[in-house]
Amino acid sequence: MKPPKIFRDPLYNYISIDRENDQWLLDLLDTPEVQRLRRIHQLGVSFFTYTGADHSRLSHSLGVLHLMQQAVEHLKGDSKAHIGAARHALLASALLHDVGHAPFSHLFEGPLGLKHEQWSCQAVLSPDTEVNAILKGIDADLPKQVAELIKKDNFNRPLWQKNLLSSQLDVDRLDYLRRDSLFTGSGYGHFDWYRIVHTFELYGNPNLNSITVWPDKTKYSIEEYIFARFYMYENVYMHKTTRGYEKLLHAMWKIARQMFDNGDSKSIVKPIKEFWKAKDPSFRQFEVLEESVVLYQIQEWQSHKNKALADLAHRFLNRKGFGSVPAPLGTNPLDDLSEWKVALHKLVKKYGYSPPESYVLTDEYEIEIYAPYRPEKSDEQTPSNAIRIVNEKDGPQEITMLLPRLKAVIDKPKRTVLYYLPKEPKELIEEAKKLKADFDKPAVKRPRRT
Amino acid sequence: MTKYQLAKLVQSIGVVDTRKRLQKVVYLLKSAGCPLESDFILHHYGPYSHSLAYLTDEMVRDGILVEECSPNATGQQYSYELNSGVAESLAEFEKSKPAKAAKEFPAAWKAKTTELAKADLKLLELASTVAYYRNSGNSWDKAGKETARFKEVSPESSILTKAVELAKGMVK
Repeated sequence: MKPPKIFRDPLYNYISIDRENDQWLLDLLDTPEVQRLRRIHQLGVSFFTYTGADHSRLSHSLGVLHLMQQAVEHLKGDSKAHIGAARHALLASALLHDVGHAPFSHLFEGPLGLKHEQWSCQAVLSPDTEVNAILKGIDADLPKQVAELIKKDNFNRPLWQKNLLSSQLDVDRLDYLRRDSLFTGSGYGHFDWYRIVHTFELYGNPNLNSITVWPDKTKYSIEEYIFARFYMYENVYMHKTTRGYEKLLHAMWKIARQMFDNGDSKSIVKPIKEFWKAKDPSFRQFEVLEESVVLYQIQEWQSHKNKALADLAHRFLNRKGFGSVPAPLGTNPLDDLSEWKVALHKLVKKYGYSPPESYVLTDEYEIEIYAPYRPEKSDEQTPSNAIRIVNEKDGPQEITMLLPRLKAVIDKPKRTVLYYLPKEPKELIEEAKKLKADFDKPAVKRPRRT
Repeated sequence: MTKYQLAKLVQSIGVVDTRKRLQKVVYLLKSAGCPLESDFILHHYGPYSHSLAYLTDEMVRDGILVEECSPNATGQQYSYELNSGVAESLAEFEKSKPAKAAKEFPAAWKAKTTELAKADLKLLELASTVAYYRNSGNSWDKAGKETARFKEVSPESSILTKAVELAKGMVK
């Protein structure tokens, strides 16, 4: 009998893969597509704020696999799950769900147009990847099943399987919250994950769409989990210093892309140039876009003749970020603050920064992504998007109905808009704050909350 | 989607009886070319936009929309109308930025908005799902079949036929 393959992991101590039955998982782990994740920062540029945030997408992916192994084992006794047929797809999708991440994780989804979910599916489905060959070696249909599980708007797999991999309480979130907390040293993100993974059940008709639910005894562990998400979002994921560097990177790549679109591609390094040139880039063209390529590119730009590009590159590499000013209330509650933006553009221009659109950076984060938990209103609520607690008397109930105090944190995500501007000279930010005061004066009476 | 656009849409309808209707009306208008920017994914009830759901909640918090909750057969349903004071803000916005207002919500869309607001809710759900599949690159025939499969309705049912017709009239 072969001994299991053991990995040391700072979260779980040991992660074990059974060589007898699951050598194919180790083979997947050894593919170039998965190994590439070693070189992708799990938390983008959070290392500017938290110096320890250097952990990789690979350690997270392995952690997600570890939790999915436990979830699958837990389900073996549940006749509704038909786990035998789904085991391979669930384990593979756990390991591969992030295989299409771009440099600095989510950060390049906008500037390079790289949606990680789409590229993860390409890695799985593309006949020229090693991942695809290994999956096909297990079952010719397995790549399709894995891609269907990864793709959020695909409903071909049973709902409970989608719930386990990608929902508001899934193995992905259970791992990254605790892992990110550990590596940032932030100290948030503690909750009883073991109880959550080892007590869930499937509810509903197995032939239709059964869903994952939790027994009443797990509700406080889930409450802790939602609070942990809240603290992590407030303190780590939406940290204003980190967001400022993200915006700096976006501004830089926007200039570069404009230059490229205008026919100036001399200063663009080969992998990026070829990716941008391709109408329909292949996975092979995608996977060479690594953080090392991006950092080399930024280093080169420090001496670029485009002064704004050179300046932003220098600022990024040397941690000389912008300062921030919160958005004003606006003169009209329906206003999108376009006049405020014009005023800020004039201000940075006055201090010699040009073009102003590269020096006034708006951070309007997508709150739908950064909400700790969102129990949709009941006339739009769906089984796949709520955390439900079940008991014999009432059936599944959305958790905030049982724990109304959770509303204090789920109502929190209000759209917070920050404007990032250069900090030099210090009068610039001070003037921006004075401008804000002018835009806080309403031209029409603001409606009162009813 | 901007606050002005959502306020204008709600004003055109009067009272939006459910969140589901709001989602489907916006998706169909967007499919028809109305400049309402929102990302939609396929959800249990058809196309769904998290950002629209958030914007709605945010505008309730800001006092721009008034939310009413009432019980229905499956739980609660939420309706929306403009707060009485907001008409003044809308008028001021349109007066101070007429070009922007006309660009964000062209007057030509008002009739289509009110027409969709009166449609049967199940029909809207199916029509927007057909439109979603069509917008994802499927033929009309395939879009109808995918909707029938996803929504568990008969491909030959009259409501699905009507839904395909409605979607055909909306998708550019």
